[in-house]
Amino acid sequence: MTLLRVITGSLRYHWRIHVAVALGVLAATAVLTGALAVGDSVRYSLRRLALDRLGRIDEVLVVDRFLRQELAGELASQPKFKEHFASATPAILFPSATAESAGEKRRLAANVQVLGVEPAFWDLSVGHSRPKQSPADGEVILNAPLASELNVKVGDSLVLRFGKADQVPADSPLGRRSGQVASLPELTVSEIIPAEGLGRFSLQPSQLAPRSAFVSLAAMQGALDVAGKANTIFVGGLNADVPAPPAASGELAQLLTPRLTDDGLALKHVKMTFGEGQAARTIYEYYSLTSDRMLLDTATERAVQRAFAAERPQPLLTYLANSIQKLTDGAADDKARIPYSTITAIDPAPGGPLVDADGKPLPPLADDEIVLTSWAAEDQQAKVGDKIRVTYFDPETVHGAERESSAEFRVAAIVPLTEPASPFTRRTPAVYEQPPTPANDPDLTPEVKGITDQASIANWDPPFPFERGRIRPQDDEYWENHRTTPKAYVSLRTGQRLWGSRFGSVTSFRIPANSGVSVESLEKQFLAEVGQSRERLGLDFNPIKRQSLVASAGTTPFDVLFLLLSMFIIAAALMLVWLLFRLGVEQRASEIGLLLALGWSRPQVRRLLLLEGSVVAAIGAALGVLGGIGYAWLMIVGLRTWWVGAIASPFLLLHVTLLSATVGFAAGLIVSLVTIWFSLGRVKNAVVRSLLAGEIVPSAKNESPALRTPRSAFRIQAAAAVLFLAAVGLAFYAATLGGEAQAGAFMGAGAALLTALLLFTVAQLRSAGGRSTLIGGAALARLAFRNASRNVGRSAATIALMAFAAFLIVAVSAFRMSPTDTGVGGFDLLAQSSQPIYEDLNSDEGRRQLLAGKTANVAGCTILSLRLKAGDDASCRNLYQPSQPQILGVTPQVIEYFNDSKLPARFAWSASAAKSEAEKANPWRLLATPTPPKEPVPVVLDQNTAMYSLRLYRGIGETFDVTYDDGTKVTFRVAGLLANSVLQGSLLIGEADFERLFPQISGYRYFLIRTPAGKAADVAGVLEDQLSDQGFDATSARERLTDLLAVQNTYISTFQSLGALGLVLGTFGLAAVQLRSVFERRKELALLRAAGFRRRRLGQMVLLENLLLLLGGLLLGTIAALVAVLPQMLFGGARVPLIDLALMLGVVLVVGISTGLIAVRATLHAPLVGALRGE
Amino acid sequence: MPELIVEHVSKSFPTRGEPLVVLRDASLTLAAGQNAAILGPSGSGKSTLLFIIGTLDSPSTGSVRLNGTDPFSMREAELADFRNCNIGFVFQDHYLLPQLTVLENVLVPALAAGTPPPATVERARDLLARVGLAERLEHRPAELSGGERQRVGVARALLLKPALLLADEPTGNLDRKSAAAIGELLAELPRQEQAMLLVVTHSLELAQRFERRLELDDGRLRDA
Repeated sequence: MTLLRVITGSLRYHWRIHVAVALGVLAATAVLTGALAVGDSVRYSLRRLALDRLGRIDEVLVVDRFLRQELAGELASQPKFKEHFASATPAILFPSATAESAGEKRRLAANVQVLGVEPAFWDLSVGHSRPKQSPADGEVILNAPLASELNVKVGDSLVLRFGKADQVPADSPLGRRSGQVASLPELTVSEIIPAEGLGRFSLQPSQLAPRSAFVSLAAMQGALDVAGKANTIFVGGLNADVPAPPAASGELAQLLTPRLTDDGLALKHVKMTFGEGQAARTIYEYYSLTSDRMLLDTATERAVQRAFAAERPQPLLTYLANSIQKLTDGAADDKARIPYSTITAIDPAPGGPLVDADGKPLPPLADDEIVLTSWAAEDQQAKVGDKIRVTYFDPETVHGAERESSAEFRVAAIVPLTEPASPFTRRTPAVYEQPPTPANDPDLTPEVKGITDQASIANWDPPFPFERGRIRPQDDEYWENHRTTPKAYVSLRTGQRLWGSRFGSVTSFRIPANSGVSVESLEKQFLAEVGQSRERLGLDFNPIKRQSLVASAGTTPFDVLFLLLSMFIIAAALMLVWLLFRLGVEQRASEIGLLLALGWSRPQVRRLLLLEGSVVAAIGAALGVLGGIGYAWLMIVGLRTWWVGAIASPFLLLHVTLLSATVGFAAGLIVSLVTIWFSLGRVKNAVVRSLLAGEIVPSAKNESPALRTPRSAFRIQAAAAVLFLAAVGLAFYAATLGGEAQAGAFMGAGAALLTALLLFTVAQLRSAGGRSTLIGGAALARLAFRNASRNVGRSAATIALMAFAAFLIVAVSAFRMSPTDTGVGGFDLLAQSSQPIYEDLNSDEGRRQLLAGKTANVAGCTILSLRLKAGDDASCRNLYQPSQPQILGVTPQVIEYFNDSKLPARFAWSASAAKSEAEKANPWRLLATPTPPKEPVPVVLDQNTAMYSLRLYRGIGETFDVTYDDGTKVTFRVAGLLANSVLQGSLLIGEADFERLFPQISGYRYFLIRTPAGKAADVAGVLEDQLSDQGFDATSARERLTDLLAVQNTYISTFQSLGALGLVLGTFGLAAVQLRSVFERRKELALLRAAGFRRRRLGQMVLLENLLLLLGGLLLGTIAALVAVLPQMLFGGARVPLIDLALMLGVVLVVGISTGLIAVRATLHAPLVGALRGE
Repeated sequence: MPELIVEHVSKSFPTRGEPLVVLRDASLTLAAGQNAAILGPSGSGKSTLLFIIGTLDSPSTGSVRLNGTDPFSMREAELADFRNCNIGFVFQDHYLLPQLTVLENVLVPALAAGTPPPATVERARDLLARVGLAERLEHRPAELSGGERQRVGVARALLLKPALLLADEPTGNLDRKSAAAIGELLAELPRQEQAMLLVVTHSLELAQRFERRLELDDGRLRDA
C-alpha cells in the first residue's frame, strides 16, 4: 500500500471526471503546441522557399556595369574556391525589365526579371526543377506567373525590353536619357517552367513568386552590345541546404582576379614625341587612368590615390563648355564665341599642360583665373588680364533637363598650342612639323561615345541640346587638328566646384611615367591595392543563401501571434480544466474530509490531489501534442485558404519540430497544473465537518456573513453608475479623435460600459437573494434567476467570461480598416516603371516629349515623380525580414505639392519630428534639407513598416542601420510615421540625400498620380500605353492599399474566428458549471421531484438557468461592443462584418444551448431516492 | 496517565441576527480505557462537541486537553499530526474510499506519514481479523454490507493506536443486528487497546453498552 496505489486507484475510480479534465488539458496543450507549430511551419516554409528559389546558389555578385564573363571561370579554377564552392556561372540579370506579348491581344508586364544565362546556370538547380533545354538564341523560357500574366503559351512570341548599358550616368548632361532601352524582339516561348526552384529565383526574399524570363546569355550580350561580358556571377555551393561558412564568403571576393576593365577603368600610356630617331624628344609622357563612366566615383578616386601614392598621381576634370568668349566692357559678342570646347581643371605641375616656355609650371591659378591656349586667345583676341565668360551645362540635370550656367574668369596666362602639319584621321594622329607643346594633349579629355570618337563635329551625336548652327569653320578645323584638346584651363578646385557632381569630380588621373613603370605594372599595383583594401569597387559577393536563411526567421513571430489569436481557446480550455477538476474535488469532498479527519494535513491532501491531477494533465498534454499538430494543420489550411490575405501567398506547409512539441507539452502541463493547483484553493480553507458532509464551505464564510449586505450592493451599483458615466464621457471624447486613436477610445468606452453592465448584473443577482421570487408570473424563469443568484460569484464569473469574450470578438471589428483618402494621400494611381523616366511628367514639356499626342488625356492630372532604389519589400505582405528595404527619393516637387493647404486629401501622419509651424503643416518638409554626410538620414515610413517589418518601436528619432551589398552602411533616423498608408513597405528620404547615397541611380521610377474624378482607368491606360518602352505599370492606389490592409483585416478575422471557437469551448465550461450546480442541488432537485415536479419541468428550469448565463454574457458583451464599434462604422473607416459576427455568436449560442442540455439530461436522470438519502 | 479534559467549552455561530449558541459551558473528563456515550436530540450539539474534541472544529470558548496537550494551540500541520497519532474517528457514514480495497482503506491513516511499514500492515490485518473481516481483505467497499463497512471504519480508526476514539452515530445507518455487533465491537476493542472512547448516539441501546452516559440538552452537558 503506497501513495501511488491510492492515486492509481483514484484515477481508475474517478475516470470519468479525469477524462473530462484530460480533454481540457488536451485542448489547452493542443492550442499551445499548435501555435508553436504554426510558427515552425512558417519558418520552415520560408526557409524551404529560400532554399528552393536559390537551388545550389550560395553567393551572387551583381554589379551595375559589365565584367568579363571569363572572370567566373577564373574564379572557379582557383584551388581555394573548390574548398567551399562548386561552380561559378556568369549571367546578365535585369531585375526590372518589361515583357510584352505579341498578337492581337498583346499584354504587357512591367518589372519583370530577365536573366541571360548559359546552360550551366540550370546545373545550379536542385531536383527536377529545370527546363528540358536552356533557351537558344531567339527563345525565351518563362516562369508560370509571367506566362499567366502575359497569357502566353509555348510557341507564342514576345518582346523583352531592358535598360541599355550606357555607362555615363543619365542624370549627367553627357549621359543618354532617350533611346536607352534595348530589346529582344520576336522571342519564341520555348518552355514554361513552374515557379519552383530556379523558376522562382529572385535576389529579394519574398514568399510571392517573381515573374521571370530566361534567355541565352549570348542573346542578351548581343542586344546590349557587350559581347563576352556579364553583370552577374552565380556561385554554387557544395551543399544546397547549407551555405558556405562566413569566412569562405569573405574570402570569395579575394579570389576574384579582375582586370582594370572589370572595374570599368582604362589605363593608357600617353606619350607625345617630336622628331625621329636619336633626335626625337619627349614633349610629355604619362599614364592616364580613366573610367568608362567618364567620371571616377569617389571610391575609385580614393583607391587610385592610395595605389599610386608614391607616383603622386594628378587628378584632373575635363568638362564641356558650351561657349568661351571674351568680355569687352562686361559685354560679350555672341557671334564671336567659341562653341562646344573642352576645358580642363588641373593644377600646374611639371610635365603638365600648364607650363611656361621653359617647361616650368605656371604659378597656381586663383579661383577666378583661366589659362587659354594660344588658339583660343587668338580666336577671341584675348590677352592676359582680359575677362572671359564660360557657359556650361550644370553637371546634373533636373528631370532630364539641362540648365546652363556661366562663370567669368580673368586670363592668367596663354599657353602655346602648335598647329599640326596634317590633321587627325580616323586611324592616325596629327603630324607636327613644329614641336608640339604640352598643351597639345587631346588625352586630357576622357572618351565620350558619340562625341569624342567622331571624326567631325558634324557627326556628333550628343545627348544634350546641340546647336549645330553655332559651329564655325574654324571650329571644324580645330576638331580636325586637335580633336578633344582643351582650349582652356582652370584650377582643379574651381573646376570641381563648378562641374563636380554626385557622379564624381575627376575624369582622369595623370600618373607620371617614371622609369620602370608600365601599364601592366600600374594595373597590377592598382589591383593589388583594391584587393587588399576593403573597398572592392563593387566586386563584393552577396551571401544570398545565408542572408535569405536569416531573413526566413520572418518579420512576424507567428507562434506568438497565434498564441494571442488563440487566447480565448486557451483561456476556455483552462477554465474547463479548472471547473472540471474543481467539480471532481467537490464530488470527493467527503473523501477529502475523511483524510483530514484521519490526520492527513491539508498540504498532504492537496499534494495527493495535485499528483492525481499531474498524471491526468500529463496524459492530456501528451495527447494534446498530437491534437496540436492537428490544430496547426487546421491553421495552415486556414492560412492557405480563408486567411491567405495575411500572408499574401498560399505557400505554407505543416512542419512541427521536436522542440515545439516538447515546449508545447511542457507549457500545457505547467499551465494545467497551475490551474489545477488553483482549483484546489477551496480545499485549503474548507471546514472538515462540511467536507465530511460532502460540501465545501470555506471557514471564512462562517465568520463573515456580511458579504451580501445592502450597503455592499449599493457600492456596486454606485461603481456601475460611475463607470457608465465614464463610458459616456469617453464616447464623447472619442468623437473628437480620428483614426486608430478614435477606435481605441471607443473601445475604452465600450469596455467601461461592459464593466458597468456587469456590475449592475452582479448587484441584481445579489439583491435577488433577498426577494420573494416565486410570486407572480413566469415563476419558472424567476426561479431560474433565483437559482443563478445562489452562487453570485460563480454566475457573475460565467457571465463576465462570456461577455468579455463576446465584447472583444465584436469590438476588434473597430480596427478593421477600409482604404481611405488619407491612406492613399489623395492619389488615385500608383505607378512604377521598369526603366527610369527622366522627363517631368507633371510638366507640359515632359508630357509633350513622352506622351506625344495623348497629352490631353492626362489633362488635369498631377503626376509626381520619385526616385527609386529597388530593394526588399518591407510591407507586412512580405514575411521575410527585409535587410535592404526599397527606398524612395522624395523630390522637392512632392514636398511643394503638399504645401498646398487646399488639397482635398493628404497622407495622415501618426507622428513626426516637425517643430516649426510650416513643418507641422507639411511634415514632408522634414525631407527638404540635404543631410550633412555622417549624420543620420531623416526617413519617413509607414508606421506598420516601422513596427512590424523593421521592428522600430521607439518612434520618432530612432535610428537604424542598413548595410548594402557593397558594405556601405547607412544610418537612418525616423523623422515621420505615416498612418496606414499606401506607401507601406518603402523608406522615403529626401531627393538630395537619395542622390548622395545612391549617386549612380538616375531618373525616376515611382509615381504618385492624382486624376480628375472617374478618369483614373483612362489615365492609367494612356500612360501604360505611351510609356510601354519604359515598362510603366499603374495600379489603383485604393486597390493597393486594400491589399496592404488585408493583412491586418485578415488577422482580425482570424482572431474573431478563433475567439468564437474559444467561446464555443467556453460553453462546455458553462455546461460544467451547470452540472456542478445540479450536483450541488441534487437533494433539492430530488425534493422538487418528490414534491411533484415533473422531470421535464425541472429540465426547463435548469435550461433557463443555462440560458440566463449564456445569453446574459453574450448580450452584455455584444451591447457594449456595439457601442465601441458603431461610431467607427458610421463615422470612421471601420468595416464591420455584421453578418459574420452574427453567425459566429449564433453558433456559440446554439452550441451553448446544446451543451446546456447535458446539464438538463443530468437533472432528468438523477436518481430520486439516492439523492434524497444523500448518496 | 492519559486523559481527556474538556473544560467550559462553548460554541456559537454568527448569523444575520443574534449568534446561534450550540454548546454552553460543556465540561467532561475521561481516563485511559474509559468509555462514554453522549445522548441527545437532533440539534443539541452532540456532533459539534465531538468534532471539537476531535480537533476538526474549534471551540468559541473553553479548552480541550488530550494527554495534557492543548491541540488548538498547534499550527495546522502539527494539529494534523496530532490527530493522526492520537485520535480515531468512526462516522455514521463510513467514508470508505471506494477505489481502495478493505485492507487499503484501513491503512489510509498510516499513509499520512508515508508508506506504511510492514508492522502497520500486519496490525491492519490483525484488526480486520478482530472485526471479523479476515476473509474480505481484498474486497472493495461496494462488495460489503453496511455493517461490514462500519467494521472496516472501526478497524481504520484503531490502526494507529489512538488514545481517543470518537464515534459519531456509528450505528445510525445500520440494521438492528449489525448495530448490535458494532456496539459490541466499540465496547470491546478500545478497551483492549487502552483507548478512551466517546460515542455520540441517539440510540439508548447502544449507549447502555458504555460505562458513562452523558446527555446534551440545549447545549448543556450533564450526566444522564
